[in-house]
Amino acid sequence: MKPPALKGNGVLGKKVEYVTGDTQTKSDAARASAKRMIEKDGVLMVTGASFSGVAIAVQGLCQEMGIIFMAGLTHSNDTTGKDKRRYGFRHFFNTEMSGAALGPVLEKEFGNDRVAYHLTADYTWGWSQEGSIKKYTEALGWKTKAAVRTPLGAGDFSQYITPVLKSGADVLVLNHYGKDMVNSLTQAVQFGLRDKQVNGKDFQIVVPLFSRLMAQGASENIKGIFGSSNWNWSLQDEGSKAFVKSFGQEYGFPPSQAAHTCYVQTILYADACERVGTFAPPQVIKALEGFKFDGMGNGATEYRAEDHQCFKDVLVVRGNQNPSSKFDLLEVVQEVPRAQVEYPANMLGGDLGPYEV
Amino acid sequence: MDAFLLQILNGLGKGGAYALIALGLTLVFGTLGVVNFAHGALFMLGAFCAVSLQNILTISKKVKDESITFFDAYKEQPYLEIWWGDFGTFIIDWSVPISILLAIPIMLLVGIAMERGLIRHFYKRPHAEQVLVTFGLAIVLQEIIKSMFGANPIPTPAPDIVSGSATIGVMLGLSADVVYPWWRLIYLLFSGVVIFAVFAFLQFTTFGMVVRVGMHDRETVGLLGINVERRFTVVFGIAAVVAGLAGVMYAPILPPGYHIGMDFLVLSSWLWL
Repeated sequence: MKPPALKGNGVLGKKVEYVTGDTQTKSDAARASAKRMIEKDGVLMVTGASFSGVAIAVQGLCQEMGIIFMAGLTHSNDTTGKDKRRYGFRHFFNTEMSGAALGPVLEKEFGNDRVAYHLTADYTWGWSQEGSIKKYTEALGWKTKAAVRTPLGAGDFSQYITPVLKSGADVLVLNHYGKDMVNSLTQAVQFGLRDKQVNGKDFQIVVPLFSRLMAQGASENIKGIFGSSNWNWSLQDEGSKAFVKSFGQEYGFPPSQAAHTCYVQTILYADACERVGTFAPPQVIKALEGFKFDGMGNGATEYRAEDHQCFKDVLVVRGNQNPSSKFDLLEVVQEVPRAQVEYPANMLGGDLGPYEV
Repeated sequence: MDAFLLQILNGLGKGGAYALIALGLTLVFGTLGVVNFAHGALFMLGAFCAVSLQNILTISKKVKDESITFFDAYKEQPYLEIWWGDFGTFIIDWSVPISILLAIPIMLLVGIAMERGLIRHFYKRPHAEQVLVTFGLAIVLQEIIKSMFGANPIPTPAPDIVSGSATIGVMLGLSADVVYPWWRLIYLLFSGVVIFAVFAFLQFTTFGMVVRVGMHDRETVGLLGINVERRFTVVFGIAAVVAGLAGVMYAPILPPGYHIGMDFLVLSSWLWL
């Protein structure tokens, strides 16, 4: 990372130790786990969460308890929007940035006369993504036929997919992540959606948030499908290559975007402590706010002071048609520059709250 | 009309899985008087029989993947394909239907072991205790599977030839847009056949007759010199096989994860009630 303050002797000369907890992707379990870490184990910083509901819940707790939360995989606008907190920081991108990055690519690939049908996971992230994708696709001239909410962890999506067949829509947008996305995409393909022609056009499926692990789960079904990603292991910058090499030697497979964002967040926190010479949260927060850095895989990056959202290049990816290895599942179609995905700091609302709690 | 037909098929397909699980619950409750909340876990074990066979058939030779230079990665080619070429590929492709053959003896053994090892100690205990112990057993089985296979669902595809959709609209004289996945139609047929087979077994065989009479009056059947307990143990095994087969065949519809049984159990229990 550039500029680096870390000297390779721990953080402020202290050895880093950690404890872990299982969030069970449930907000209450995550809060209980984080509370135990803070009260019993005396942690100085909390990181992780693989689910926006969890991230927002833990971020709120961390604000109350005066502990810095370096969010992991959380993509909802709310995390650094209406639910932003002074003690919470997000390196991962959000749905607004996904929409802004994907919009022009979808227009180029599929044109601007399309009818979209959304299937949306019924929680903060799903609503946020549906809103962002609708905003940017409707701006292109696309129409939204329907936006149907599906319960989280529905498993069998057949009852939601069959209405798409006769809806007149020619694009299905799957606002699902993880297991839901694997199941809904697999079942959409089983129902023959990718072989259909509607309104004289080939039917298309879009998965706005993609990850290699999901691509692995969905197997052959992801080939040719567009989405966006925070980072991909195939990036050729020196920082990404060094991280992939180190991670690959340890685990035998390349890191996911979630692993990448958590790694970067931990380094950023450690670096901020080193720069200000203390672990005291208010000073560390001030060191992170507005911090500009490079070399972590997404080009020049800034932690915007007003909402604690990182701004950097965003990747538009597509399921690889001809993978060269079992890990080569996503092909980076475009690295969308930061300027294209940036938005005004007050656009998503919210209030950071005080430095001292 | 088209949408209605598709939703009817959705309901029947999923209902088939629920019916197979509920059938096992009913058999066990009817014969042994036990409320078995571990029955969903048997469905899950069946699905993992399909996963296990797929893993066994795809045991692969590892060759260094030269396209990845950052770390040591390996390409894998299944030994079956190396040894038998296209025939090996065919066997791997058909791993789900083949795993039925594996699931029948395994689930029978699991069912009998479960009944002899745990359930029989709770025959005369209140239903609340039976629910607690079988629910606990289900959680234990889930955690074992999670530790062996991980927490992520594992794709277990249907054979290529039936992985697409049937144009049922054309077949029924409706719109050509009305399609339905072949495997779901096969599952629907399969559940009907299994339900009928169990019914026929209980209705038209001597074994079934003894079981049915034993359900009404266990003591009298025992006085006739028939070991009705042993027959009920076999019925428990059959119920486990039915749930297991339901799980095997459901694997291509929903990639099996350790939680799949619990997801099905709740609604199946309502069906059973």
